[in-house]
Amino acid sequence: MTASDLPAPFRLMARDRVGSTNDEARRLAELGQAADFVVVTAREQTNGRGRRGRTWDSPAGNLHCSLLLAAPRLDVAAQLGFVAAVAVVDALSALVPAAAFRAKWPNDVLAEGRKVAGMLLEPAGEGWLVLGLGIDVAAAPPDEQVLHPATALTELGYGGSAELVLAAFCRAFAPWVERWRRDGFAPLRNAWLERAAGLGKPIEVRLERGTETGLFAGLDQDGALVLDQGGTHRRIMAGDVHFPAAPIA
Amino acid sequence: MSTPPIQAELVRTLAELLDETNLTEIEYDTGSLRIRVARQGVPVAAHLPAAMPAVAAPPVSQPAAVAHDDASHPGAVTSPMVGVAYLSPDPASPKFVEIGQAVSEGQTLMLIEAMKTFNPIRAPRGGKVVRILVTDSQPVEFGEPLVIIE
Repeated sequence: MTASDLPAPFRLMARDRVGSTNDEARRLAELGQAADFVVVTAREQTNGRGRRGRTWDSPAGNLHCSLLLAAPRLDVAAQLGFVAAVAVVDALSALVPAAAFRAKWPNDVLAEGRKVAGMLLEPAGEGWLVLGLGIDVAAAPPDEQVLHPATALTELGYGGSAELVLAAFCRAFAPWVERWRRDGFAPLRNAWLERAAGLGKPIEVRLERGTETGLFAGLDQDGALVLDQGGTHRRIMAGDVHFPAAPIA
Repeated sequence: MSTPPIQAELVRTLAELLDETNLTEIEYDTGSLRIRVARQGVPVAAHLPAAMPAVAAPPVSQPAAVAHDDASHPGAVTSPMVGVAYLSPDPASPKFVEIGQAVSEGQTLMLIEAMKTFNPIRAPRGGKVVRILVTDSQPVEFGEPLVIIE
């Protein structure tokens, strides 16, 4: 794959085998070599990471990439995860029209109720955000190894490559980033809610300590999950969402 | 010159608005009077122009007042974002720092997560960690003091 395969303004830095593309991207930022919309990809990650020390299976054939984005305000940088989730839903819906793709708070993407994409975001250097994105294109981990059952695009009938998935994501992502930078979070919040799984339904949020249950009432102005617990609204900034009454429509 | 009365009704209205809109902070300014109402740990305060005697509304609660003092402590490291504080890199690992520990500039003190964005909080200068003001997995607000380094 060459840089010309990605639409402007993206610039590809393709690697073969790395520990984690997030670490590679962060290193660029710390060396002062970051630029907006640089995409670091790897054929394979040996140390793909998830939340709180979890690993992310990263076999060849799946998409593992990290984007460098200018994010001068750290307090709103997390909103870029919602921007990317909206773009992943749109890109995958276009590639696999027969499957239903939904966003799961905060920035996972589900296909037919099973997890197909995840993200991990980290600030880096001065004013940069590294947005790590993994999409299960060719293979998904078995159910007993993961918190949320997963699927891969090939299982849904997709016959293309990870490179084509990345190009489709980039095409969908650029205009949403531009919109977010110009108009703020409100339009992105609405776009995300339109694509959300389980809105208004009972959910379970597993926190570091304990579990909260309630109705998924929406997002606040920061992107926090609003959980309706018998009329009391609780704001959640971090946690793993589960849908007790699976499958999700 | 008499002390201006605290505009209890106005503060109450703003506090209700804060809840309705789910904002973290509202500032109301008439030119002669400025009232800022903020949620979680920050006291409700009325600011008056310099020409008038400065009168602060009583703090909402004692813990809030203490948090406010910590925020203005010269060695305070405050939160750059709203999120959840983690004192260790993952649940199975030891804490980044302990009370009494010497730290160098740039050393990671804790992580703050907001929606899967993990932000390392680094020591702005070298020194000794004298207090850790948050517990593991605690939600924190923008500007909330996290650690005191002396």
